Amino acid sequence: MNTLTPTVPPARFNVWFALRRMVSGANIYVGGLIVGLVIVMAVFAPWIAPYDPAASDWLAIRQEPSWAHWMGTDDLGRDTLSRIIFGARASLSAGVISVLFAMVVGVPLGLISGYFGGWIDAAMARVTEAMLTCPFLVLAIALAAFLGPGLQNAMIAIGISASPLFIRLARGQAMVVKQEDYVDATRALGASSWRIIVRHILPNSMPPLIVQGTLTIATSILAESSLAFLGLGQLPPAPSWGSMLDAARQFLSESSEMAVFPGLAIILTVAGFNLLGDGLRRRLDRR
Amino acid sequence: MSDMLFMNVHDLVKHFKVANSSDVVHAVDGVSFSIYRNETLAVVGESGSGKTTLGRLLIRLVEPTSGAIELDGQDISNLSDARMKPLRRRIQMIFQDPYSSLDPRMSVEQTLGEALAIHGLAKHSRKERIAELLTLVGLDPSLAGRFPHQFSGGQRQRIGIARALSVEPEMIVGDEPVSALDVSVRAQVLNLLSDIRARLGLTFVMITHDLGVVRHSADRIIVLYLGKIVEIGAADDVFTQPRHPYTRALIKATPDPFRLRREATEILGGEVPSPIAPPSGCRFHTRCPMARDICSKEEPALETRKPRHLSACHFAHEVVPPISQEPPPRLYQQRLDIIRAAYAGKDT
Repeated sequence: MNTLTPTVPPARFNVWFALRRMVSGANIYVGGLIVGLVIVMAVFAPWIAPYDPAASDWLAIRQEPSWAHWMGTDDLGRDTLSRIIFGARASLSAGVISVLFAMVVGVPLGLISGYFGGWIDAAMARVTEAMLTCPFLVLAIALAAFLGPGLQNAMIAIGISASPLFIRLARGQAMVVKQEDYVDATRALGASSWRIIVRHILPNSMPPLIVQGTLTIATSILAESSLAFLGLGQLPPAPSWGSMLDAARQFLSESSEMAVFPGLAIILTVAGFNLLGDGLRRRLDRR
Repeated sequence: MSDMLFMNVHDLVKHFKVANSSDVVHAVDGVSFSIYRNETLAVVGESGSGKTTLGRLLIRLVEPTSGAIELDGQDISNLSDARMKPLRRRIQMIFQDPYSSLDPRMSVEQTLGEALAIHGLAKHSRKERIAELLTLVGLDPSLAGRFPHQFSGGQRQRIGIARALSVEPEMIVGDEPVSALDVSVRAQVLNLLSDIRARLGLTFVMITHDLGVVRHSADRIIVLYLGKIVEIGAADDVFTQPRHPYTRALIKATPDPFRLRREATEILGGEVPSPIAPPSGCRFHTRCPMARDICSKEEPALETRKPRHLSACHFAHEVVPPISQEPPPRLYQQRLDIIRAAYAGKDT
């Protein structure tokens, strides 16, 4: 007998595949959860924090974590946990506001550049290229040093440094979207370029810009910490994760927990925004 | 008929520069013709013939390199945007791809509302007007709040038609309006177009590569090849007695049930030459079955062969009619009757 039996591979449960799918789909939730926690921390800081973040307790200097001070105290006897909770305000506002600043500056310029093309585009491309030749953090530090220390100046410096990213992305999006027939149709109806850019090009360019914005918040938080570490960000005594790291630098060998907790806060928050951005990309870029 | 002149196109040229080179694409290369009120004018040609560019030139989506487009005697080819705006209302376009021609982030109501808003139309009765437009194109007005992705290709094309009609145009340019649609939907949309055209007294320019589409709806036909008009004339004349070998080849290439048993289809060899470097003399000579020495040297002029029928060929009088004039064969007729009987009563 020579019958042909169809060979069907037995259905096997692939653990790795299932896990990978679960994890990749979970990005957005894990990221969102972390970001949500940080936001809650920043908003409700006075109610959550067990101590005043600026109050020194000279009897409890550089203590190790204990039931009284969960994350220990710093060299001035301030409660690290309370400072981290209040520090979330500086980091979060630095991240969000500087990105908003960068988008408000960058997106309109990019859309105009991409939509009109020609010499406007050529001029804008040269400027953004010049700015992008300088590494992001170096440019931010230079600008912050020029503007002087302070959280507000740090945010402006980071915002300006991040704006070329958005100019480039918005420009590319505008160049793609303006090819669509609905743009031609609207033009044929007699709509002004202004109307076409605001009503059609901008909304259809948004998804990748939102993703880029979320990812850049992470970079900006890191940049603000770096600036604070260098003494260019949030001014003391107001707490900032970066300046806490700076203070911990001198005591690394004796009281390493002073550096560990602010460092963890930065890592977790940055990772949270990255996961969220990545998850958003998966969601929004699917057409 | 000449007193009903609507548009006059004179020696229209559009050359596109090729990026990073000195090459120039001769998309439309010296085209002159007239459009009369209430007529359906078909522009046919292969891809690369410049027909889409010509359509976009007519509604000024593309700026001409040179030449004039006269609307009611006024040259509109270099009007500013502001002066063009009131004229834009008079000429509208239906696009080929119903998936790209509607903004995915706007509901039907927003899309149509924007068209009305641009020209300040129906300010106080916008909802009613939108409902009226949707009914006109055969869509349920209750669907106004939906987004493009919730519609089929045919429905989207109807929305595109409604948008074109919203500003009460006098002329509509249809750029392959049905070629992206399923064959089953094509006839519906074509019928809708001809119905609307008749009802609203529109002038219609139909750009297509498919002669079958225009055969029964066009009044006149323009045949384009590599950016030039090779033949222009009344639809009947062009179909039954083409005066250019390219037109003949196009007609021969359309599927025709009458012809099935009788003769083999003649298909043009080769590709359309590059519009960057069009052939010398007659642009068709590289593919023409009748080409002789003179064809590669001298460019034939567009000459009148009979009243209102012009063609550009040195040997126009030698072109053999592509369709025999005899009635269809008996067998074919019988089969057709059987099919009709089978479908009688079933309203499809």
